[in-house]
Amino acid sequence: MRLMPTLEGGMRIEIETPTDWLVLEQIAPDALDGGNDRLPQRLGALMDEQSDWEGVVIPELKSFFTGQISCVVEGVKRGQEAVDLGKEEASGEVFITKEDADNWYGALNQARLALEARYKFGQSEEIEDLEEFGDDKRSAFVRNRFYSALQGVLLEYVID
Amino acid sequence: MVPIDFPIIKKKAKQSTELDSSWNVVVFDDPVNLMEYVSKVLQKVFGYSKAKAEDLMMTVHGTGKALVWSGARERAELYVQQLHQYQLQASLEKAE
Repeated sequence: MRLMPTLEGGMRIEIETPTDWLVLEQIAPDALDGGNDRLPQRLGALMDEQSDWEGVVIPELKSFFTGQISCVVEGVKRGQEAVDLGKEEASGEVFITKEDADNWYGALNQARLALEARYKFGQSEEIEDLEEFGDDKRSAFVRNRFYSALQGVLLEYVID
Repeated sequence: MVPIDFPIIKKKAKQSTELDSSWNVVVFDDPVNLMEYVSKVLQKVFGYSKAKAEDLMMTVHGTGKALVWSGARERAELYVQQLHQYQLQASLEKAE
């Protein structure tokens, strides 16, 4: 997988192997792990009853976060529709427009927050030995690092 | 002319003492949100300069939390809502 800037200020993800597609497809399931109302609930956990967070803000946040995930799912699907996934070399491309960059960043963040809530990685720079992790956690950690790297590129080159 | 029934939005009446007093918007550290992102969000939500936003972000990162704004409760709630949209852990605290 390679990342390249576009002339319109967005980003192009160049897909080189079938595994690249699997990685991008995993963003939404990771973000939705445990249900898409968990993040709004966690964010609002410290708000008092006076704020009406439960009745007013949390439903809005849920809808907003769902929209971010849908944007990523549709973006990946558009890329896949343009190629023949049955071929051994399933190369292709996924475009992240400047307008969609915030949604992609948000969906990746949701995925990372859900992975952190589930696996409790802590500060990733303090993790040196992945051998102590089981297979699931190690795989989740690698995805978490990939999502973080993609976020870093979006922040540096696409998002104002 | 057909009369229009406007929806009645039920919202708890806030006590005047709560509206009058000052409230702090506090952002908490977490191991996920990137430092540069936190700084950008503070610039977008509060209109802070890059230097001030980075200073506040470093306080969050170094001490676990930072007071990023103080003022009327309703405005503070709006800011917290915006920070939650950006997926930052934030809350209100009554100013002492």
